[in-house]
Amino acid sequence: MRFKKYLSLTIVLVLILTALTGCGKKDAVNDTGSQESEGQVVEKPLDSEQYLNLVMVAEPSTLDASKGSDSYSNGILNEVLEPLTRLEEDEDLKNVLRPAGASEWTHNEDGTVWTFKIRDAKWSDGVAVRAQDYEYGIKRSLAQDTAAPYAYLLAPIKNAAEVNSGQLPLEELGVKSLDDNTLEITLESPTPYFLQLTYQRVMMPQRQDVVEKHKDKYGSEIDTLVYNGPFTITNWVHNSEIVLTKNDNYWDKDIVKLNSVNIKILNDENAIYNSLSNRSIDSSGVGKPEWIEKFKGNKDLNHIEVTNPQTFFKFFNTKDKVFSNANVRKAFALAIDREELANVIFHGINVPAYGWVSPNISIGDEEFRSVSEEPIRKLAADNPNPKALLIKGLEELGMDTDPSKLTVKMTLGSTDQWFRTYGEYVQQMYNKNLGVNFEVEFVEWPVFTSMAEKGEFQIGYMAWGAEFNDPISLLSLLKSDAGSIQTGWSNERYDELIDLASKEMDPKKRLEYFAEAEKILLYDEAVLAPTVYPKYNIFRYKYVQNLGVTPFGTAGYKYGFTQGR
Amino acid sequence: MGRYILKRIGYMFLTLFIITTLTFFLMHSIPGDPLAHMAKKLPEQIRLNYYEKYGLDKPVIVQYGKFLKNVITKGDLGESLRYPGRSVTETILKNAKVSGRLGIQAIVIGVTIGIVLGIIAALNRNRWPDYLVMFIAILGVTVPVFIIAALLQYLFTVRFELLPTTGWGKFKHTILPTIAMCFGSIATYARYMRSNVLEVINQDYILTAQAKGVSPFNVVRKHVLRNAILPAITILGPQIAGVFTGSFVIERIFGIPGLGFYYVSSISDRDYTMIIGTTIFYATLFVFSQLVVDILYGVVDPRIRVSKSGK
Repeated sequence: MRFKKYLSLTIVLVLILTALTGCGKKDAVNDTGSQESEGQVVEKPLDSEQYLNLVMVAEPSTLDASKGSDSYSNGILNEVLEPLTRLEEDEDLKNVLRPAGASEWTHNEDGTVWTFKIRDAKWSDGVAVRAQDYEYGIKRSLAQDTAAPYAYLLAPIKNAAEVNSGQLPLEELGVKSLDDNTLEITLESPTPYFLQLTYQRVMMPQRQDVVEKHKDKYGSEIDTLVYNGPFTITNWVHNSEIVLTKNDNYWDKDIVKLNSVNIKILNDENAIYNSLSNRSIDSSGVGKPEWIEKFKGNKDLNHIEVTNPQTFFKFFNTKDKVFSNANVRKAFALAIDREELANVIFHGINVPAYGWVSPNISIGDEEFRSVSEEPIRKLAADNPNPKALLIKGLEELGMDTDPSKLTVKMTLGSTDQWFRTYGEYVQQMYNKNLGVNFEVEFVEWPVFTSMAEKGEFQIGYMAWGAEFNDPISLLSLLKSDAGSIQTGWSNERYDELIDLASKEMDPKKRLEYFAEAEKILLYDEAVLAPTVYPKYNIFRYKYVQNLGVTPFGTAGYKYGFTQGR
Repeated sequence: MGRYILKRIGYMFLTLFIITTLTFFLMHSIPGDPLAHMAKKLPEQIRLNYYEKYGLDKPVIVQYGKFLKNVITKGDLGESLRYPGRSVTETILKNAKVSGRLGIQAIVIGVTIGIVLGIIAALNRNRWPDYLVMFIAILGVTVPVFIIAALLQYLFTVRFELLPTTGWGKFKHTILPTIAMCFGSIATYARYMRSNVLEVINQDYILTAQAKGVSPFNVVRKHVLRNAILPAITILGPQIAGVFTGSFVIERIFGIPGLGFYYVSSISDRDYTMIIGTTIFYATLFVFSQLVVDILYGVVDPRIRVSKSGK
C-alpha cells in the first residue's frame, strides 16, 4: 500500500479497493447511518440466502502467497488461507490480534524464540493442516529462487537475509516445525512488531506437494490451489470475476455465515457507481466528490469514512543551499494551509496531516496518533509567523533577507492535470504566505526519481503508506541508511531512537522513542512537510453487516452476513 | 496469383520480424521495470533475486536471443511478469476469444447496418432518410465510444433495469457492448457506402442497365452494390484485425475479460513478455488481414484479378 505517483488516481483506486478487501477503518468515523440501522436490524432475522456481491478494481496478480505484492491478491488470500493470526476488530473498531491458524503462542523471555501451537484443521481437499505447511510457506517466501517481492518483510527472522541472498541454505533459517502441531520461529533479535508479520502473505501456509506439483503455475489458476481459510474459490475468470464459496473444512466454519461472495473485477468508476446504484453490488468505495454527494442522499446506504495509513508529503533536499537551514525548512513546512488544501484540492475528502505517522497505526494496544500529538501543530503554535522564520533562516545562511529576492523550485513527478492544479495552488500559497518567487516543475515520474536520487531538486512531493501495523514502518524510512526518501538528511539521535524502538519490547518505551523521533523529524528539523492523510468513502447497503473495515485488519468477510436484504 | 501470395507471405514474415525486434528493444529502453508497479524502492537483494529469476539481469541483446529462440523453436512467448505463473500465449488466446466474439458480433451488425443505411441514404439523396442517416453517422463518428457506452449502461441498467450492468458469460452480457461497439462502424460504413453509391449511380453502365429494363432492386444488387462495396473492403481489413484485440474502453466499462486490457496495462506495468506477446499477436493479425483484403479485392473486382493474372 505504498504509492508515490499519480496520487489523484491512486486515491481513487484505494477508495474502491477498500470496499472489496473489506479493509478500511472508521477513524473519525462519520457512520451516521450505522447507529440507527443497527437499532432497526436487531428485529430482523438473518436473510435465508447469505451472499454478497462486491467489487475489486484490479485483477489479483497471483494467489501464490509468496509471489505478488498487490493488495487485491492480499485481500483474496486473507479469505482463502488461514494465517497464524488475524488482525480483527472489536466493537469500537480497534484492531485486536486474535488466534487463527495458531490457537496460541508463547515466546521466550527476551522475545527471540516464538512457539506457535497449530490448530487441528483440514485443507479443502481433506488433508490435515500441519505446522510443516506454515514452515514451508515461510521458507518458500524467503528462498532465493522464489524471488518473492515481499520477502524483506521477514527480515527479523534469524538468517533471513543470508538465506534470501543465497549465502546460507534454507535449513539455516530460524523456522522449524517441532512436530505436526508446533511451529518454532527464532528471531535475529527481539522484534516488538513480530506478531504484526504473522498475518502477512509471506507467512501464510502452503502445501509442499501442491506447490511442487504445479511449480511456477501455482496460484495462477484455481485448479492449482488448496485452501484452509474461511472460503474457497469456486470460479476465477481473470479480469472479470472471482467467486468465493464457504469452506466446509474450515476450522471455524460455524462462525462463517456467508455462503458465497461474488467479486466483480471492474475498474471503470462509472460502471462501479452504476452497479452500486442498481444494487448489482452491495458495497463500494467512492472517489468522485459528485458521486459521494449523490450516495450520501441515498437512505439505503451506510456511509463509512476511513483514513488510510498513508501520508502525502513534501520533502526538502537538505543538501541544497537554502534548504540546508532548518528555519527555512520550517517556514516552508508551516506556510501551507493544510485545512484549505484538504478542502480545495482534495474536495474535503482527505484529512489535513500534521504528523508523519498516519492515523490507524497501532503501538501496543493503542492507536499511535491518539496518544502522540502531531508535531507540526506544536510547531505552528510556537511559530505563528512563518515569514519571520524564513527571514531568520536566510540571515543564518548569510543570504539576502528579502524573501522576494529568493527563488525556490518544487519538482512534481507527474505531468497530469491534477498535479498542474496542485502545483499552481501551492505556488499561490507560498507567494502569499512567504512572499518568495515559487516555481513549479513537472516531470514524468521516472525522471523525478532519478532527479531525486541525484539530489537535483529543492522540494519534492510523494506519498508513502505503512507496510505493516507499526509506526516503525514509516519512521524507519528516514533513517540515514534507508535511502527511501531522498532528503539527504541524517541525524544520529534519530537513527539511535529507531534502533532502540526496533528492539524494545515495552510499548510505553517505544512510544517515547517514536514520539521523540517524530519530533526531531518534524519539529526540530522539519525535513518533511506532511500535507494530508488520504481518506476514502465507502458506501454500503444497510443490510450488509460485520465486514471488516480497518485498513490493516484481515477479518475480511469471515464474520459478514446480510440482514433484511 | 499463387506466386503473388507467396511473395506477400514472405514480406509478412519480414515485417513481423522487424516489428518484434523494434518493440523488444524499445520496451526495454523505457525507464522503469516490472517491479515498478509496487511504486516503491525495494531492497537491493529482492531486486537482484527477481532479475535473476526472470533473466532480466542479462544484457538486452542476450534476452532478445533467448526470446527469439523460444518463440521460433517452441512457439513459447514466456510467462507474464505482472501475473506470475500465467503463460502469455494462453492468456492471449483465451482473452482473444472473448474479444473475438464481441468483435465479430459488432462488426457483422455494424457493417450490415452501415451498408444498408449508406445505400438508403444515397438512393434518397437530399431527402429526409439521407439527412437522418447522415445525422446518425456524424454522431457515431464524433461521439467517443465511452460516452455512448456509459450512456447505454446508465439507460438500460440503472434507469431501466433491463440488462446486467457488467459481466461476461451469457448472451445478455454482450448486448450493450455490441451496440456500443458497432455504433462507430455503422457510421463509418454508412458514410463510405453513401459516397460510393452516389459515385457509381451516375456511371453510364447503370443507365444502360436501367435502359435494358433491369428491376431497380437488381440494379442496386448487381451493379451498384458490387462496385460500391470495394472501398469498404479496404477499411474492413484493419477492423478484422481489431476484432480479436478488443477494445480497452468497452471492456473496461462493461467488465469484459477481453484482450484490450492487456494492450494498455502491459505497457504501464512494464510486463515485457506481455507487451511483446500482444504486439506480435496484433501485428500478425494485421498483416494477415491485409493479405486477405488484397486477395478479396481480386475476388470482388475482376479488373484487379485480370491484371494480376496477366503478369
